[in-house]
Amino acid sequence: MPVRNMKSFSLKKEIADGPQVACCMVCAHFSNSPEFLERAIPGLKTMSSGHASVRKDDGICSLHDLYLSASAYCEQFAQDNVTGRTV
Amino acid sequence: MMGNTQDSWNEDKAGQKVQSMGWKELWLKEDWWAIWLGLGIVIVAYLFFTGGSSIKWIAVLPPGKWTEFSAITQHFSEHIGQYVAQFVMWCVIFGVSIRALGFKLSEFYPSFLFVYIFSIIIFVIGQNKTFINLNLEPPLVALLLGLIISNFIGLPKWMDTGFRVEYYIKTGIVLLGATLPFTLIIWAGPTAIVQASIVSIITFMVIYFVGIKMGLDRRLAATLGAGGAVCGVSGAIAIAGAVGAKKEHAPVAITLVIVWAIVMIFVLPLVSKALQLPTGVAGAWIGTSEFADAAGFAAANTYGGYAGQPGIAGNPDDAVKAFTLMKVVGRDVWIGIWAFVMALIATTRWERVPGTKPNPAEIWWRFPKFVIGFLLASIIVTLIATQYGEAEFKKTVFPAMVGPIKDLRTWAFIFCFFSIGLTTRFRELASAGTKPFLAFTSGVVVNVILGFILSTMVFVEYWSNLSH
Repeated sequence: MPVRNMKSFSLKKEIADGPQVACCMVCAHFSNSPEFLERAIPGLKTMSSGHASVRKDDGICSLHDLYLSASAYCEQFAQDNVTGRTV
Repeated sequence: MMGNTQDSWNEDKAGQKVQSMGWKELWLKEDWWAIWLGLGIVIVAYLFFTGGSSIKWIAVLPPGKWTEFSAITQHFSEHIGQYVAQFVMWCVIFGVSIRALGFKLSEFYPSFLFVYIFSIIIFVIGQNKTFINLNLEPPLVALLLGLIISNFIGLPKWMDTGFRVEYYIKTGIVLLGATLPFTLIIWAGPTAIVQASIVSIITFMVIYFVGIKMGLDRRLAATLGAGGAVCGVSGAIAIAGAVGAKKEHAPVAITLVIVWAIVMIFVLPLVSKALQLPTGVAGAWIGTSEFADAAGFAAANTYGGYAGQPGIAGNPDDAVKAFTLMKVVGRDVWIGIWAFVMALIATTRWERVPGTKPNPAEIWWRFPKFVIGFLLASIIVTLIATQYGEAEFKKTVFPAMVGPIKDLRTWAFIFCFFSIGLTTRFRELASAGTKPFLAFTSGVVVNVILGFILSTMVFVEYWSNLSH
């Protein structure tokens, strides 16, 4: 599992392309669409929104039952065959 | 989770995931759409103004304080065409963005028609002298009406597509920038940042440590702390993601934020009125002690409506200006830094199994981008204003350009306040539990007292002289 190396970290690249590792974003256990989150998190759309910038790409991991960053990762990573990309 | 099981899971998951956005968020996040819409209106208003015309015609508003119903019927019989045109305008500009955000227009248009018609009714009711005497300004009428409809009558779920609280308030805030001199932001911004930072840090610490003392999970305590100290539901959801909170943590914090925010919409303006606080001072207090932008604007707008009543000094706009400086400039802009710091603490000090090291890009990604639009709108109109003398600005620029922008902002705010009520369904909120409630409430108490002391004593000179 690749671990992010802060020395080679490129802010410009990160901003342009998003996470560059096999992380939650491309994991089968992870869901983060705004519509899904507004249904899954009661009250989210009452005084905030699934479409808000502050939410970044965060989502819900159904394996660990966590709400976490899309750039997080763990040993149980499973390639998402629906929306996943090759990393 | 492999083989057939994986396939069925994938089918269920279709539509539940979006890929990393990168710069696609320019057209996929509502913050950016609020900028495009808000600045678009400002630019169009300026082009009309330089062409010797104005957008005033389409920025029509129901009449101000009234007693005779005949005044209302006469107004609408004379201006019905303008209301139809304005409704079409909102449908076009919101429709484009709503579609880009992935919603169905077939759901949005009928829902927005409902919002628009009720917004007119709210304006009319809220400007009636009897309601004004009852302290029920249009924001409170909108909220109460929305709460009654959603909790006692009920509406189909698909109608939520038109109840975009955050989108309306962000668009309104960008438009608000056009009515706020940039010089004022420069002058009062640092004070707002100092005051907001003092209150935010202390409130966060109180909620966090009371929560820890009661045995709450650190991630829940941090999520509650951000909800109470930084920017309400948005703060809670941002910190929950940054620290990798349990799935149920964010809903608990959101419930507490919503309940207390709605209580404060009523309490802060009424207590401020009882204490006869000047509008700017009350706005600063609301900006320090309310929890969400939308709720705070409802409270600040309400208090602005009390201006001119016996003992209430200051002009109506001062409440909203002070609130904006305190909440948007003083608190909202720091959410990315809060998230980065909390993510750093979570990954280096707390034991968290999944996760990567946080990186500084977090600060940019979580930055509430609509603030950029708010600042740009302020800069644009301030630069335009510098081309005119003060008297000429008041005589020509304000009525033809800034005034209509302000009226459209008023509409956006009413759409928002009504939508708060319509989307607040108490029975659907997560159960918070006693310990989270006590931890959060301890922060509320400290926040309100500290915000009051700083606004009415320590920095009172700034907030009571905002217009000068």
